[in-house]
Order: sequence, then structure tokens, then C-alpha cells
Amino acid sequence: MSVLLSVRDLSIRIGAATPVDNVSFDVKSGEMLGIVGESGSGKSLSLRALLQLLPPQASTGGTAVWQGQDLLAMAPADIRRVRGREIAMIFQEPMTALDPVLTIGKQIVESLDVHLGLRGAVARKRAVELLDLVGIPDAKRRLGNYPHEFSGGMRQRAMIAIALAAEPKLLLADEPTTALDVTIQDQILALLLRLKDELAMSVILVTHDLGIVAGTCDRVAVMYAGRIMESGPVYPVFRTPAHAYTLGLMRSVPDRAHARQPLAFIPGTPPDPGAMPPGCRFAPRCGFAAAMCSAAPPPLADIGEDHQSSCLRAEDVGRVVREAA
Amino acid sequence: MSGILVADDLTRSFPGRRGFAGLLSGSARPLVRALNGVSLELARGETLAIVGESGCGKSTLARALVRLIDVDGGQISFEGTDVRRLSGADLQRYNRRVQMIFQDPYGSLNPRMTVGQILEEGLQVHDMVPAAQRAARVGELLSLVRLPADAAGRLPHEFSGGQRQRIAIARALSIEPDVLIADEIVSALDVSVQAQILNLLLDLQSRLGLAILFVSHDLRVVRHLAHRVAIMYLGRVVEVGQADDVFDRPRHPYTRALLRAAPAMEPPLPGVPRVRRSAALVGELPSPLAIPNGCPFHPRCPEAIDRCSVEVPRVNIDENRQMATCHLLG
Repeated sequence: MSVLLSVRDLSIRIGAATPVDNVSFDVKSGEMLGIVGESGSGKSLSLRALLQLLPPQASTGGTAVWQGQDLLAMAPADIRRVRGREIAMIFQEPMTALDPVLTIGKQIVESLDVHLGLRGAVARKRAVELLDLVGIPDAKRRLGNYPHEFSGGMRQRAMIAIALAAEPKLLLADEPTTALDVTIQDQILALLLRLKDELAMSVILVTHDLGIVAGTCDRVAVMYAGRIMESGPVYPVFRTPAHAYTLGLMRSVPDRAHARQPLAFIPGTPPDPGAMPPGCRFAPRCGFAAAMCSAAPPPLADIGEDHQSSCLRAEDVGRVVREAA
Repeated sequence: MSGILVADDLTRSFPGRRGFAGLLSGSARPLVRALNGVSLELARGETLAIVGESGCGKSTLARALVRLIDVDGGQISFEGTDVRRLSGADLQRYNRRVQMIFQDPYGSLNPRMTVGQILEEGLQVHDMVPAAQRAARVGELLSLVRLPADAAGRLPHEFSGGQRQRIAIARALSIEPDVLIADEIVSALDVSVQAQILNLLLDLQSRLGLAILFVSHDLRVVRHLAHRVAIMYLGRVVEVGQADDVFDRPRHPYTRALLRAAPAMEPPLPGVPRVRRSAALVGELPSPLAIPNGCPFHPRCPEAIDRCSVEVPRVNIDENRQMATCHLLG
């Protein structure tokens, strides 16, 4: 599979803090990449940086190469041409992302006009097709509805329809189902998987839910305190984690075989973005930490096929995983 | 089994909002039926989980049980006494023995009071320990929920979300309740912090013999914590049973759909293409303003028959005492 987007050493600085530090990952064509992490891990900021959607006080470093060009260095006029047309984005709360005073139809038609120059009857016909595509019944009539007339799940479908108007090659999805009920979340995830295949797009799915990653993603990057701790295909990362943080995260999730038994939680709390530990940012909470872990930031190193870890104790973590199996 | 806290046929409606047309025509305000005949029993020392999606009435039920809201009909009894008739000192005693913890650890603690003052308030109101011993009791409570002793002098904003939820738990436990009503108390927490709170609840239950009514939408957490599970849908309990039975042998089609929809921690094997499956349930959650006739689940139910849209299904209890309300069960 060819690499569609290649992010190298992405850093985000806001004042004295570096909430995202030296983040590198690739997105291959047709794949769904999960970026998983707890609150404050920098997963959403990293996603927004790709389309230059960060607040003005933030500055970025590193590169994000897309079709031979660096997204982070593009002039405003150039990134606008990429945004929405080649790379589209959907958000957690569709009610705030949709314009409350415009009908859903108007918002889709607007997107078709800006990105593809479609207007009038042609645009309206395409808008109906798009609503159909995302599974909104009675699409023709629903075009005249306002966002508040839609339920949460329908709004998320409408937002996906707007994002897909220009048939982007990459969809950035920032916690798209977090605000939804379980059965509606399941519908939206099934929809994203179907559209990814039908439209041959790639998706970056940012989530805090490991179950969603297991159920939808091909590869995953695990973030903690602004850095990627481990990345690789979903199966090995879940079954044979090679980073102490990934192992801690997996063990924090209740598992049916151990109901009502104590969970192996991670002690302490994540570091303050203004005062990050000097070495591995997880070291102060890590049961595996040794002196070397606090010396310098460990690099993300290859440890297997397409599998990277920044854990200096990866071998010991692996031994613990094998012994537990 | 005799429950310590028993709800019998609870009903509660709220007036909904009228649209502009409704205002002009002066039509009656629509009714949201939040509880529509809910009966449940919580036994001493057990965890009963209440599971359901938005609008199922799970939070209304929790609030009704601690009398934060009144029910329109039905009975609530605590150790055989009628909770709805309690007033004055009796109500205060009930409030001491049945405590509630809320979802939002930011909104439920007074930001101007120190943690020590927050924990002492209940001791004082319920006259639990002499004034001279209150500080020592606060220290005990903090160590019970594994917070440092110096936490007593600090304000809530100095703590993380997980720590605040511990403070809320310590406050609820300060007056030695028999029953905890926990409304989505780990939903806003990250998974590593959530694990700490779940461990704490398990530990406290085994040490203090607490009965816990645990309201949650997270099936993974519920399976971990609950002895018994009740599934609610649009104001009704559709299934109740032992946790293992409900999770392994669900009897109601809604329970089956809910279990199928919940993300599992099982990634596909390497080299095996992901099998794309259709969603577990089609359709939207109906508005609680317009609950479907018959079985409220029938418009979304993949197994619905003609009878389901007309007749409310009766309670069916099997040999494991697993209750479900579905016409397909006979």
C-alpha cells in the first residue's frame, strides 16, 4: 500500500508548553489509522495541525507531506484548497460544527459549490445522493431541515455527507461517536467503514476508546503526553504490546474473564504540559522505569514489521506479556 | 430475596416543551414519560447495574430513589418503610443511609469549600461524630479513598477529575450509608483513572457491605462491577437478571442488540481482512415524547411480530429468575 500522508517530527508549541512533541506517523491509502490516547495526550491537536486549524498562539514544527507538499508549510490560500477538497474533517459535536441557521441542504450545496463548482439543480441532485449515501432516509425532504430538527446521530451523518461532498482522499475524524449512544455509535462506525471502502478513502480516527480502535482500525498510534508511545498494526499492539504505557492502558480496561477482580490501573496522573518529565514522559508513572528512562526522550524505534515503540524496557514488557498469556 | 431498597411500579412524567405552533394553538404541553412502571429490587451488599441509552429513564430512577424528584405513582420502600411518606427527621435518616454520587465531579463539589469542610459538613448535619473528633474522621475518610492526608486543606480545583470523584465518594461514605446510588460516576474519566475508581468501589463494597445501584451506559464497566443487571428502554425495564446470565444469554432482543453494538476489545487476526458487518440496530432512538404503542422497542426490533405494536408485553421470568418483557418469550 502506498503512503498517502507522511508526518515527521510534528511538534506543537503553545507558550512554554509542547503539548505535541516529535510525532511521526504514516497514513497508507485505503487504511483506517487510529490515534488513541487519554485526555490531554495531544491526539486532537495533532489532527487539527494537519489542516492548520490550530489556535493562532500555537506554532508547529516538523513536516506533513501530502502529494509532495508540506501541509504545515503551505500558504493560507493553498491549504484552503486542500481543506475540505482533498482532506476533510468531522468533529465530536456536530451541533457546533453545523451552521444552525442554514438548512442541511444549503450547507451541502455550499460545500459542493466551493469545492467542485457545482450549482443549481445539479448540486441539489448531488446533495440528495450524498444524504442517501450516509443513510438518511427520505433524503429529498430532509434537505430542507435545519440541524436542530435532526437527532445527534442524524447530525453526525449530515456532517459526514458535507465532508464527503468533494470526495476527499483522507477523512480526519475527531472522536466522531463520543457524544452518541451505543447503538447509534455502532451505526456511525459501520457507516464510516462502508464509506472508506466504497470511496477508497483513508481515515484517521482519533478516539479514547480502545474498543473502537479494535473494531474499526487497521493500524493504531498510541499517544501519551504529546508523544507517540507505540504504533503498529492493531493486532500486535493489542495482543503483544511493546510499550509499558500500552500494556498499562490495556490492563486498565475491564475484561470479562476477570469480572469483580481488581484492575491493574496506572498510578498517578498525566504530567502537566508546562512541566513535562525530561526523559520518557511516562517514566514517573511507569512500573518498568529504570534510570535510563529519565535521561533523554527515547526515540520511536522499529521493533517488528511495521511496528514501532519508544519504550526502552520493551523487551521486559514483552516478557511480562508472554508470561501472562 | 428481600431487597433493602425496593421500587414498585414507579411512574414519572415531565411536561415537555411546546413548539411555537403549540403555544399559539394553546394545545396541552406534551408529556415526557421518563418512568413507565419500573419495578426493581436492590439486595443488601450487591451491585445492581442499570443500563440504557439516552431517555431510558435511568437517571430519573436514580434521582427518584433518593427523593431528589418525586414520582407520580408507585412505591419505594427501604427496609419495609414507605420512602415516599417520609418527612422531617425520618427523611433525614433515610438520606443518611442512601447516598447519591453524580457523574460530574466538577459540578458536584462546592468550589469555595476545602475538601476538609466538604467532608465535615455531612458529619455535622447528621451529627455523626463529636466536633473534636471530626478532623480525625476526615483523615480516615481520605485514606479510605486513597487521597493524601494534606488534601483536607485544599480546594476542589486543585484536584484532577479522578481525585475529585474520590472526594465525592468519600463525602458519600462519610455518613456511613447502606446504599450508594452512583449515576454514571466513571463516564467522564479516562480509562486508567476509571480503573482506579472501579477498584475502589469493589474494595469498599467488600469491606463495608455496601449495596450499590450503579447507573451506566458502559457495558464493559457494568460487566466488571455488577452482580445483577437491569436493562432499561424508554422508561421501562426490559430485562433483569444475574450479570453472567444477561451478558451470556440475553433474552430480550434489545439486550442482544446492545451487546452486539458495544465495541469489543477484539482486533481481527493479522492478515485476515476485517469482516464488515451491518449495524446492530437500525433506526433512531424514539423521542420520549412519543413512545411507541405496544412494546416500546418494536419499531427498531429486528424480530418484531404484529402483536408487538399493539400489546405491551408481559413480564416473563425463566428458571434462572431472569426477567424479560418480550412477546417472543410467550
